Amino acid sequence: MESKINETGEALLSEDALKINESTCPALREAAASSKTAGIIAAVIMGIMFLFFSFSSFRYLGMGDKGSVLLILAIVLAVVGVIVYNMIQFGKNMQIALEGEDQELFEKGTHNLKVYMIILCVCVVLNLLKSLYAIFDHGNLF
Amino acid sequence: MDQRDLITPELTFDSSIQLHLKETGMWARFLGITGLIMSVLITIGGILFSSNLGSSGSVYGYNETAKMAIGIGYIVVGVILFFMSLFLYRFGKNMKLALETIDQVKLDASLLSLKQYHRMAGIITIIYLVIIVLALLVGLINGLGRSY
Repeated sequence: MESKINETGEALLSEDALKINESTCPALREAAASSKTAGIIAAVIMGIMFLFFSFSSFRYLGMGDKGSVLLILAIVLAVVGVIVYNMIQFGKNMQIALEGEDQELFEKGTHNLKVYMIILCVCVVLNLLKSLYAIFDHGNLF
Repeated sequence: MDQRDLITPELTFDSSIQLHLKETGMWARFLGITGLIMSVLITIGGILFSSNLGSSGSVYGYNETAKMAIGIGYIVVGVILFFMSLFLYRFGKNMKLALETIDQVKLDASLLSLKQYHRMAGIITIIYLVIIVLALLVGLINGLGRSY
């Protein structure tokens, strides 16, 4: 294959450059739709869980415990909120971009996907650290 | 007469989009590899838990049925995580190759994996929502039953 990258590393906008074609478009469209649906449902789940846990903490915990539980809930809510927001935005922006051929929204969609992946990676790393702590603290994961 | 393809939009992968996708692909590969390792560990953990090889069940006083159910639960989670991680890894790997070699076929394969990943995530989220709603309903019915 002949080189299609210029000196600065950018792909040349030629006939051979990467583009959205008839096989890419449906895949991207379905990914966007699924992401949007999953994001909206995840937001609903998050709302139910938040209501449930905050109700439980106010009903059964003492004043000191309430504060710490609500702090943890707020942190979890913020992190999951960013993930869910980016999932929904990715889906929304991609769908509009593909329908209206909007390059700017296409870029925003890819940016949302990037942020979603990065936050997901941070969560995975934190979860791994938590698992390691559990192993060293209790001797096993269960 | 000017003819325009209405099915396939004329969107291009310019330098900023390529940068976003390159970074996304990198993180997706990391997530994929980590997920694959985790899924194998979770599945092994599930097998150990349901069999008599692990000590965890006896430590917490679970009976055989509970141990089996928890073990199967771990195995199911491990299998789901394995496939989701595989799709993510394929997305990242193919995206990297597509951007490096300007390969449309790899790009198509990459976006197909992204579609499969998001489709699976959507289905799992729906199932999770149904389970939560059912659990709330069962809890509510039980609570009301006890109060009367």
